[in-house]
Amino acid sequence: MVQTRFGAVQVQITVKAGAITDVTALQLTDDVRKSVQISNRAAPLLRAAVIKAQSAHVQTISGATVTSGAYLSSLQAALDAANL
Amino acid sequence: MGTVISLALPAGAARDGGDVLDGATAAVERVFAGLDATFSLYRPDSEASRMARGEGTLRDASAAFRGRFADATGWRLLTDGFFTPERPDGVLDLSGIIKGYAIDQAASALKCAGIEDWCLNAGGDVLVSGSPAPGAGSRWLAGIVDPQDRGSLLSGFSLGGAGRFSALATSGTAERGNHIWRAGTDRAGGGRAGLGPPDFRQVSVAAADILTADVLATAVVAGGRRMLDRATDSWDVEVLAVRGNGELLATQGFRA
Repeated sequence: MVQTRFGAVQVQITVKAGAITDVTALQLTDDVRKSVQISNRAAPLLRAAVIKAQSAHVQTISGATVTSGAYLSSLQAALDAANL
Repeated sequence: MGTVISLALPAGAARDGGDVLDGATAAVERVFAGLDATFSLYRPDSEASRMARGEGTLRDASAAFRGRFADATGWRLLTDGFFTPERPDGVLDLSGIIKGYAIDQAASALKCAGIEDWCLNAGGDVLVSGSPAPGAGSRWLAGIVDPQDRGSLLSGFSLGGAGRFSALATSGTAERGNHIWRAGTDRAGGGRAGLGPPDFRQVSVAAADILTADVLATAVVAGGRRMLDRATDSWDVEVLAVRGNGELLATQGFRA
């Protein structure tokens, strides 16, 4: 029994004369949703296919570290000003 | 910390005479000011600055300083060295972990004050709780800056509510990122030579907590594709990475 981030995995091995002759999966994760999505590696994506957001509809902006100086011209500053 | 903190509350929260908003703002300010006094490298008199100048050792450091150092070294192990609290010149720099820690502590302060619905943004790293419209149960929507045109949004991501993700952090080489060091390229004689130019100009990571999101975003910028795969294999996260040439790599959660 091995714990993985997708849940517990249990396999049974058969050993004959010191060699593994068979491996049987007794339990492959206890979470159906996650076991279906076993790999979540990032793959190439066209810009048109990414989730879109309009700046008028967001409540906050995530971006690489904004310094106090750069904040003044940032989207977050515009957003904060609009909600004052 | 040389950064700007924005706190958003649902429109109804300000109607109670402003007390909720004032209390929430004060709680967040206290947390950030307290950590800034100890950890800011922009303040010559901070403990972090004294340590960086070599005045004192970890044995003499405060419990808070040693605690964050322990956190940072734990993350260094988990990220195969791509997140590290040491600059290439060997100076101890905990800046990479302090902002996430401060956001996390501010969240605790807000919860202790009984404030359940809020969105906290510190220099582009976001943590939310509850909903922007508590009655309707909608989720907070964060926009992600397009590093090729910082006046527009590349993408969006919903946080909080019933979803798994409350935190979204973005790291990059576009603006400051002065706590990110490219392993191999910056470390003279380091063990990771030959990695070439940085893979990613900007990396956004959504996670359940802000420290995981922030540390992994930093680590993927530093470690490139290899660290990206390690992050998505080992943590329950969604990642949107922008290559130097503008191409995108994304996990399923960022696909429209």
